[in-house]
Amino acid sequence: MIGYGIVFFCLTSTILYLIGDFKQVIISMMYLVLYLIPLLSMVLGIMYGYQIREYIAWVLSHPVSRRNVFMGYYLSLSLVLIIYFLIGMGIPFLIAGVLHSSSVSAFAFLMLAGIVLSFIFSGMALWVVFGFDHKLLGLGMGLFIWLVMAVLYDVFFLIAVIAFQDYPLEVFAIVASILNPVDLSRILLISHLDISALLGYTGAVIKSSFGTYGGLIWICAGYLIWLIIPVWRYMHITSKKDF
Amino acid sequence: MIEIKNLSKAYRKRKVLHHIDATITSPGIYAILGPNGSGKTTLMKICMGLVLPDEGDVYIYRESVRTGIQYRRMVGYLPQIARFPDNLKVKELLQLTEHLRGKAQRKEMLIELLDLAPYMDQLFRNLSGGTQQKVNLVTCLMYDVPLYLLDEPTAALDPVTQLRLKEFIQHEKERGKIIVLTTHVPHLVQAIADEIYFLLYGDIYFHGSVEQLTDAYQANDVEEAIARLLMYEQEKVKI
Repeated sequence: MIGYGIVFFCLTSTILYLIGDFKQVIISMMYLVLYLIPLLSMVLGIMYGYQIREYIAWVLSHPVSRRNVFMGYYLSLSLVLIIYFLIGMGIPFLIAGVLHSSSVSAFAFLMLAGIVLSFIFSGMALWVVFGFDHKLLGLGMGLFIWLVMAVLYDVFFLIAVIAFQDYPLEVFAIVASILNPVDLSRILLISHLDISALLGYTGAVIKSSFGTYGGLIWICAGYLIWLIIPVWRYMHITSKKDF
Repeated sequence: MIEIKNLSKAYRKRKVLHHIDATITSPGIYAILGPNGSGKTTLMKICMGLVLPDEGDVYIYRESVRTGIQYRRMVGYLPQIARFPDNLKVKELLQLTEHLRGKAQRKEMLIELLDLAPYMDQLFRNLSGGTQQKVNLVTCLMYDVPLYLLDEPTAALDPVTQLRLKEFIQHEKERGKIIVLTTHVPHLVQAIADEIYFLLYGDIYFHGSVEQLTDAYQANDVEEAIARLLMYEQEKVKI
């Protein structure tokens, strides 16, 4: 897990050193947050999950409730990832003086998106671990979920937009945006960086429909759903599972 | 005190336990026997809340295992296979157990009894199968509780340790404890069991003392009685 923090620290320090301008660096780091955090949270979470599955029966045979044990595992996994992310990415920015720059709010949203994505994908990783008894199948499913959300979702969305271009797609775009936490994070970050070119169709529709603050509420609602569903499913599966 | 009421469990379509009822109230050594896959370990795991029953319930000291957790303070459970966080040393593992359950009353005594002192600073994963089982035994028996559930306690143990364990179990019985164990070692049952529950086809096929079992199958010892019981059943299935 320390390696996770070191990766962020090295990448952030290098990019800050090479580019210098906070806005440009935050745009670069945005892609790291959007793709690397879901991927690493998923992979590390699945590895951690299958490791604890080996001895979970021993833990559960003590006077501790299943609910507390499994919620404890989820919180410990996600909080460790978040702490290393905050240290790895936050410290280089703080040393470079981001708090005294005009990009401080964009930096705060970058951190917020990283925290929320860590929570969401840790929950998904544990959901996968306890949903699939076979380790390789679980890892494959985890990577597939990441691939769909980080890459294929945009492809499917683009195909849908082209196929139905003669119809009004605003409502579809708004609903579709909530189906993907990575897309929600992208919209959140881009809308606070004032780079309309990178907003994408869903981002542009949300901004024009709700405005910046209305859009923020919409994104928070989407985040809330994504924070609850994986953890709820994980807790439900583990409450019924035989060990 | 254990009350098993109308307990059923199936894994997919395979019925493992089928409407089982049993009550254990008085101190003694109770052996659960049966062929492989007869549901012995499943029954133990249900008692510890690790496996959830499809029907019925088990009450340990009047607390349902479906909903309760406090009864586990009064139970020492030995799983069939020792699976612990294998990146820990033996002493760290025992400390972690105490962190989960509270201070153990006789850790040092058991470490000495099972000759584990030289292994305390070794990683659990580097230990031999027999030594891992000894660590497993210490985590279970180091608490002075009124009920022990031991799933194959003698597996992988050398004869000396088996003998020491047998004496320890008998001593605990004399102190008024209930010891429920599963085993495939007939000599152990013959030597220490007060009552036998023989599981077959998901039911309690036989319940009684060692003498009742040997008398019922006109056998000289438990091993012969079990062999005759199983052969009799195989003949019945053929007919």
